[in-house]
Amino acid sequence: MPHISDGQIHAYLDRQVEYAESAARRALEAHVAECDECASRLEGARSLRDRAGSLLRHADPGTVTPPPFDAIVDRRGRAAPVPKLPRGFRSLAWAASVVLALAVGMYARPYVFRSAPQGASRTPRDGEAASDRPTQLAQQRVDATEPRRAAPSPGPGRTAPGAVPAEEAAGEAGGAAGAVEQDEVLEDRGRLEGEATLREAPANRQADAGLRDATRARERAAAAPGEVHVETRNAAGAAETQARRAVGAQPESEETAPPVPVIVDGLPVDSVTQVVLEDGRTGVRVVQRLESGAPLELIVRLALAAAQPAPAAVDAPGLRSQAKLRMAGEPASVAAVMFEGYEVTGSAEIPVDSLRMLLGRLRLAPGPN
Amino acid sequence: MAVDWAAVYRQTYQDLVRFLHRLVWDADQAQDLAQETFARALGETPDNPRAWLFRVATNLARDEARMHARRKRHLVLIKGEAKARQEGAADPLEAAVRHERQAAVRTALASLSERDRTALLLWDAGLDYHEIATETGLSPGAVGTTLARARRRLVDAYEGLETRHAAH
Repeated sequence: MPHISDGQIHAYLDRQVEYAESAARRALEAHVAECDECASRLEGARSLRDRAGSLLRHADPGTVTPPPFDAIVDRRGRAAPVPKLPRGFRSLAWAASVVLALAVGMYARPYVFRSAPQGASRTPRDGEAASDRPTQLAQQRVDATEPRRAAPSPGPGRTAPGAVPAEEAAGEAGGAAGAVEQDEVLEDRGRLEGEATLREAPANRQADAGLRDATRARERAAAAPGEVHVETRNAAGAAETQARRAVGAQPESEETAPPVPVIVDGLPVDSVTQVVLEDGRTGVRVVQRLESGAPLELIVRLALAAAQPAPAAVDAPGLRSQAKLRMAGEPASVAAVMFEGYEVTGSAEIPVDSLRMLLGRLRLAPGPN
Repeated sequence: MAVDWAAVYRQTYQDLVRFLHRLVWDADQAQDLAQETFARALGETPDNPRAWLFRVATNLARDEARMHARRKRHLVLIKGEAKARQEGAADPLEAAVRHERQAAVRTALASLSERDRTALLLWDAGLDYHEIATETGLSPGAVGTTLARARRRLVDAYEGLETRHAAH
């Protein structure tokens, strides 16, 4: 038998299974009994093993008393602590949150702070229609409200203000998404007008007629300086506006847009017409019939500034000069009041106090609905 | 097959603590890791519960060693104060000798390869050759050779430390 290896010797000393009570063990013991070298190595390995074991005893922790097994079960039952992210990860989480918030804000900004669409020619781009629609609808609601407020009771033979062409309505609403509501607005205005010649007329004919009317109005204004020429549906301002629409010019500003009609409650309305005033703004002329049969004329226009004096009747000779009307018989009294953001100048052949009382009964003209 | 962990606990706890102590060199921490090992064992059904316990304990000690490296300075300060108080109550000379021997054994063990050291500690903790082979990846026939080498290197390293210490 060849000499035994160190591994076999240590396995023998460690009393492993294959050497415990086996033929291999008996063979090894027989070899050691005959081989002095292997016997010496066996003793040396035994000494080494014991020495190593004794050294490891120096590394023992001392007396160890195991706690009750129930303590281990309780420890198992305790909820595992939530693992905390390392410091670096927490910082990254904060940074990611900030970046995400900034990104959302940047992308949401156009939708949150989008201004109202400008001009009739603007049409939504592809993919924009859905996001633009709320803004457009909101704008259309504003536009759709005004003509309803402005509309007087419709009736045959009654002249309505605002000979507004289709292009103007489209310009206020803006965007193809509001086409349906724009049509409703136009229908309202068309009913109020009682006739739809402007809508039916071709654009170039409207432009020609408007320019002619504007020229005529300016000539009259030049012939009688200081006076405002009252026109009916074909007033110079409206015609001029219509003409500008037809030739593609910018629409007039909101300040010069015709205001809604205001009437004195309880008096029959003879006529409601759009007029251009001396300062270039557009107004509405309402003629009502007093109980005596005399006419009461109201000129309604948007107030220039929001911070106007509180509603109060004011003798307004100055205003009269601004809104002097060319009507049969000079009015005996003129008074002006602020009402619902409008500047209303009334004139009639009655005492001024009576006129003030009448102007205290102002109300917005009811809409067609 | 369900494991009677209570019985395994009674038979193995002290061996596991001793094994862990030679990895972390802290008696309290060794006991804490041993208890954590048994707590994790509950509900498990390994084929060889004893070998499974030592494998989990080795991994826990390895993780603990990584964390210990991060907080080493703090622990040295606190444990140094605690050890001084503890040793003050016992025989100072005996405590010093024990501490010195333990430090030498620790150094000698650190000079072994990880596989040799693990095999030696597992054998000393009571695992047989087959279990050691399973945990270390050795063949069963190579465990004896590995243990022979580990024992030789441990004794040689320790005696070399003693010789250098005596020379000073």
